[in-house]
Amino acid sequence: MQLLRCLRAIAFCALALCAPTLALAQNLDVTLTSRDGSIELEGRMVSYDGEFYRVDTKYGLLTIDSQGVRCSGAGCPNLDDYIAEITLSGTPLLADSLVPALIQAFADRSQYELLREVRDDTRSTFVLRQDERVVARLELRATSTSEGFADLIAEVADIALVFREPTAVERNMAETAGVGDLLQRRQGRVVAIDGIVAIKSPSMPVRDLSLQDMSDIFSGQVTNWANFGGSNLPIDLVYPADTSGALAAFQATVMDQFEAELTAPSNRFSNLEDLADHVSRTTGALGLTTLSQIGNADVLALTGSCGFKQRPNLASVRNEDYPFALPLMFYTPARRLPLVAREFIEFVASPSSDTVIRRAGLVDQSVRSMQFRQQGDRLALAVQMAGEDVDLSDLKRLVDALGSLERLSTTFRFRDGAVSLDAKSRENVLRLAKAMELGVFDGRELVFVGFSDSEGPASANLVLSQRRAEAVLNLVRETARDADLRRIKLSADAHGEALPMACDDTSWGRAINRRVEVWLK
Amino acid sequence: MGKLGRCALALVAAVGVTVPALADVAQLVASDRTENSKSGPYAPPDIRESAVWTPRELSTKLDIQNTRNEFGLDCHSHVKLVPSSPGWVGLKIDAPCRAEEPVALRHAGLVFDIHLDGFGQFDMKFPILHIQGEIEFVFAQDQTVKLSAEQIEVPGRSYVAVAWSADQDTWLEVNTDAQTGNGVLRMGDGSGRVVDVYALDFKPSGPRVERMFLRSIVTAANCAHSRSAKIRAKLPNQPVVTYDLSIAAPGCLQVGTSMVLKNVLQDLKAAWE
Repeated sequence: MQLLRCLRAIAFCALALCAPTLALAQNLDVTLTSRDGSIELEGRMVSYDGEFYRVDTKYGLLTIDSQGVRCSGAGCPNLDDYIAEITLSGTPLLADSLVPALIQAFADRSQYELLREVRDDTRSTFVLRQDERVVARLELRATSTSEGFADLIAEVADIALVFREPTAVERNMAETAGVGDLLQRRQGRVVAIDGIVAIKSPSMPVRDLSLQDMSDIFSGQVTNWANFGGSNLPIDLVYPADTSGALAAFQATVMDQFEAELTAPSNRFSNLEDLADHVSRTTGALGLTTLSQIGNADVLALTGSCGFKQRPNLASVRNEDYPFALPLMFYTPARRLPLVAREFIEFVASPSSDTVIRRAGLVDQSVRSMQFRQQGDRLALAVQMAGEDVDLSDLKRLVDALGSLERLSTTFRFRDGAVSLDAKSRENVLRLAKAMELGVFDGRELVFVGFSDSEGPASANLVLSQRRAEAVLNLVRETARDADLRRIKLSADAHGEALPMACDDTSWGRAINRRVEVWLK
Repeated sequence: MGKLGRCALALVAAVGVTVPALADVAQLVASDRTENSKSGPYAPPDIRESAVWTPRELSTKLDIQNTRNEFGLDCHSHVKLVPSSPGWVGLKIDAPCRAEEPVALRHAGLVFDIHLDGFGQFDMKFPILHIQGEIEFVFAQDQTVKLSAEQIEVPGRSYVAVAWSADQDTWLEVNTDAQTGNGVLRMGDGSGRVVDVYALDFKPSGPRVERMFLRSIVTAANCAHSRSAKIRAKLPNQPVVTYDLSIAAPGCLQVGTSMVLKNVLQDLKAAWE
């Protein structure tokens, strides 16, 4: 009787937490019997992940260690023949090139033989074998970020491949469906960084465009290259397909700043490789794509009204100096994934995958450092923008404080103003904390340096940027629980609006300037 | 531990039942076994997997015993490797008594079939795909000859090779420009197994991307069959990648169409960060 009460209590909780995962149900009856035969549990088999049964019983959905029971009935899996089935769905930016390369590297590391079964250009299955036995089948579907989230919520995908955080609607749907809060529990992990860029043919002699220029062009207000020093040719706009998500990101980060809308292009391409090939061969073409997909086209540098100029490349995206970074992420459900899936995700999140990510033309998450003297462009911009609020004495203090230090490629930015860190920054916290725990910075001092935009009084901005720096420092310290803090010194400093990375005349530029950098002493 | 936890403990003791996501019984929930996973340091494979032959000729003899056939023809045979441009070697077979005999050539785990001509000869320019470049010639009755030689490394060497098990209707294509003068070389005479190779033997002056894709013509004969291949690729600054590939049968409603797969092979990017 006591056992039944226990079962009811647990079943209630388990049902509340796990009932939505019934979408996976195989709906075959099973009876689980304890090894000593004293207890039997009947239900329908929902899933088996190689270690645990998930069974829908009259007490609710229960997860049961397969080693502790005997299973009988039509729904019982063959424990020896278990094959992990894992589905990945989402953006082609991940699915076309990087994920296959990561699976290959994972198979190589784990000493699996690999067979890739191709159904068409968007669907492949990777079969992992060990000792002639199939261990896992990873189904990879190149869809889109939106479809990746939808597949995750509908539980037809185990890993969503995406390049944006979930919308409020998607978060609500996920919570309702029992997938969990997609912004919590580390369900989203940044795997690599790409960037949104504008590309042109190498035969068009224009080298850079300002944000205002881009807005004018992509809204259809200016239609000839001659307006920007180029050949007298009409501008032939080329976009990725609507489903790519890159267009929406460009609209939000650039066009919205100028209250402009993207005009209709002359061409759309569902495949970004085709888009780049078209642009590289067409003198008048101007395309929107991502840095990893520029092919043989030329990428345009970004300029600002204040003199800011940034060329998009892997280094500037890594250091987050180029503003249109695109974090490529894995999202997973709250439910437990098969062991092979967890091992794969662990591999992808580890430094072991960094080489694979770089080879795919993307920016990995490794923490790198650079000398102060490599900050020349930023310093030049700071001098140019110096005025009443920030005078040369402030810049001298900045140079005195940072001149002998190395800047880490890790930068922290905030999702909603100053409230919470964005996805990339949350991953940065984990990466930096891990490096501290591994002793990478032993004997050194990490200086968290806050910066602000130029809105409001400079003195208030200085205080605000100091608070942000201290907040990030505390978060990293709390995350690095296993770090030996006797060996690493942590400190916070701030320079307010003294070292802008973008022009402050747009809300986007101000958001870029509100940041915490990490410098190594 | 709360009441629920005690209940769970009793239950687990009885049947090994665990319940996820309950803090009280967290220690009873199956441990996440990722700590048992293969999480040791991963050393990416050595990328120095490309080579050219030293510039000297190598040869070996066949048919030493039977010096004359029934027509009195001298049957002494030779298999030779002849120096060629970097990354390539000339293959020469001269076997007068083996006219039109089939020969299988193996190299770097890939194999293709050819036939000797009416004089028992064969001659081709051959790309080296393995640092331990050994070429194996399998003649009739499985008579096998192997040739290998010292090599020097050429780190900038890149190639993509696709070995088709028995498929004349699917092949590798590359969108390239005229600067390299290179194209896809199909090795094998079409009688059996073939290997498609695209090799880039020098570093271009600037960044360049060459698109690799597979094209297949769907015919009544192949529409119901999947295609099997072995891929061997060495891209710039990357280790050699080898894996098996299976392309699903397109279905016989597709007969007469051309199927293009752009995402199966990684593009050849000749320069990056």
